[in-house]
Amino acid sequence: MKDIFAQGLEKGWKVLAAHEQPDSTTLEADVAIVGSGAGGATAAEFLSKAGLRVLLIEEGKLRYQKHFKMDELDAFSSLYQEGTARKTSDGAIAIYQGRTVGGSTTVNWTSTFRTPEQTLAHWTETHGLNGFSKEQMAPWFEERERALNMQKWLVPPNGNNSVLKKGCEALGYSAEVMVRNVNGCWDLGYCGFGCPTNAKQSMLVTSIPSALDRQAVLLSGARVERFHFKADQIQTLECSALDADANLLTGSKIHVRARHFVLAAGAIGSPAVLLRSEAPDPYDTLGKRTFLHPVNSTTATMTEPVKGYEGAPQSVYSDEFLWRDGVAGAAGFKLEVAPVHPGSLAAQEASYGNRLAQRMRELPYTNSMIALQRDGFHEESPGGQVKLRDDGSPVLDYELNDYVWEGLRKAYLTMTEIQFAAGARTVSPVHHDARDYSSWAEARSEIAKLPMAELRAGLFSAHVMGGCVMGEDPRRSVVNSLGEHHQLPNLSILDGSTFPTSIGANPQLSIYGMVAMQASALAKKLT
Amino acid sequence: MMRSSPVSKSSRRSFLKAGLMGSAALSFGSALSVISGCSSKPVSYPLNASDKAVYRFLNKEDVSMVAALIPVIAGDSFPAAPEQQRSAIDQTLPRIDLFLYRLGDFNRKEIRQLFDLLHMRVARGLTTGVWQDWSEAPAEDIAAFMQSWKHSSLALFNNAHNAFTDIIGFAWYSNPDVSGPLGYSGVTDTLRAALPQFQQT
Repeated sequence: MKDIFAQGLEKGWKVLAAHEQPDSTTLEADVAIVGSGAGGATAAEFLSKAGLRVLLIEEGKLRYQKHFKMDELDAFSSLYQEGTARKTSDGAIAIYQGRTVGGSTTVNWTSTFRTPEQTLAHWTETHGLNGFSKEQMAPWFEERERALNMQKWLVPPNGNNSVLKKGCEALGYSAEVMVRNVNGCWDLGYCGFGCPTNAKQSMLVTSIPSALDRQAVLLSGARVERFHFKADQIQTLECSALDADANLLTGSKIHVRARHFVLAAGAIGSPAVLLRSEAPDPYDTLGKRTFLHPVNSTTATMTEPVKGYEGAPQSVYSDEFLWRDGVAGAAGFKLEVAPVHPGSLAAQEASYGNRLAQRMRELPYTNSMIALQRDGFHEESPGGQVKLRDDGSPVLDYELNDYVWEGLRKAYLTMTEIQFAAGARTVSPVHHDARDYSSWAEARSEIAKLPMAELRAGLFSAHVMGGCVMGEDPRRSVVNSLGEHHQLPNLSILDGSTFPTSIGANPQLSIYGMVAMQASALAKKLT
Repeated sequence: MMRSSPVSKSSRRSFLKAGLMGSAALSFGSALSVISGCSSKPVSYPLNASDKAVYRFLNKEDVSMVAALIPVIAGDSFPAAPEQQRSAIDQTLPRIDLFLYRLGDFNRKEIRQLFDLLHMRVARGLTTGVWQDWSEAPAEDIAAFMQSWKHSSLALFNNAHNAFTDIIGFAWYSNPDVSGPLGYSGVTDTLRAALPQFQQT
């Protein structure tokens, strides 16, 4: 089996680890890109294809196939932001974001959707974006779908996904098969640990190698602290080197000079760099409108094994409730399932001791259903705000109000109904005050009484969006429709932080398509 | 870079106020630093006589506390035979240590403050009801304080409860020796033979 990254290193790719550079090293490039995830890597591919010298900077460590040993604890603690312990400031919502070369694309579950046409229309009409109509975006999505081998998953869904399909069919709800970005997938189910077979067409094996083949330089283990300005021009970028494990600061600095800078550190990281830099923010828009697709879940014990840890983690979805009450109406949600690996199942359950042990004995029978709330489309869904702690690290305030709680309760009920319709023996919402219910009738009356409150409901997010939002009106946005910063001419922000609302679907292709369009425009401008 | 933010100073004050009112919604670290007012340095020392591994986060007091918590979190998935119990704890401590070590600067500091607070006898007694050393605390007493933290009206304790159950539960059940018997497939012999990352080099 060929390991594309190992081969590239052998043939001389320029790949640097920050801890191996002498203190106060200065690196130069035409374009310096902060972040190697969906946004940064796509930008690196398009800019290097245009002949520009690109430097791609990543805070996480370079990990690739040889490190991906299907070990849950090693993977979760090394490939995610804050070792998977990132949470909103009140602790109510766990946040899973990649922190490794390839960013979240290295650990995502390969679920692929174009930006829904409702979302694109809302951005155009309500947020005044240019170039984001369904027709204008279609060629960019098509190009990325080809480049990343995004195709409908033809293998039958695993047991966990089959529960969603079966339950929806029994109740007359829609249930569709997903598109996935894989090539020669072994259907193992360990996408979230770093793909062990290089089948996932993440940035790590596609756009980053493409850029490195064109003389781009990758610097890993470098935490970007701040920009330094001269008038409205960014002069340099200041990085702190992290040790070989990309964990502790070494005390060394690296400085970066470039003609143009691209921020693609994700929806928490990108605003954080600008906040630390004390960048111009004349209309107080920076860090605002940060969205999460807040997710709640219900755990079912099925009568037959479903082995939620084996096979493509997500292959079926239902949009039955996503837009039902109108784009700007009551909260809507997308239904999916989550893979059921033992450490993650134990951590998400609000219990411990014998009760948790009993749940874990049912591991092969466990189905985990999730609902992703579409946030940012309603005036009562303004999103959260990225702030800095005393130590300069970012944290997200995200208020859960009645609008969101209503959507979450509806989702608890809907998922439970679907699981029982699929033949579940018991269903338990992931909630501190819930227990195993043995019928839909019992569950319906009990869920109606559950307190919808922070730290009672078990909530998480794997999709952080916004915080540096796009718009043509500088009073309401940070960048324009091309990702160009309104006040800083040599800065573009090319990642999911520019989304003016959440997407309403797993966002990887929304980032790839948008950044392909924006980076192509930037390449023309710079060459 | 390290700017002191007026926001977080005022939120510390408001925590104390909110805490007295019985409803706080803050992460526990900044609050605990006010209560405990100190923090000890991480200590590296040999895991046991036969093992060259060293802890990179846990200190001696932490080890004693976490070792007492593991059987409570594990419940009846914890082995019954004493020699298996020792080995289960010896296997799990380094996993917890690695997880905590990689949490990032901010969370490491938060957990350190929580642990240090719980090492101070009076603070521990007042917050948990456990007055004796961790190694002598009955499992029922530990389970009782976990339960009271879970249902506390203080977000501080809810968050601390969640940190313990999440981290220890994750480290315990993600161990192939524990998850294998539950039916988890993990790395099969076929995969071990087929994939280069599992080959001996």
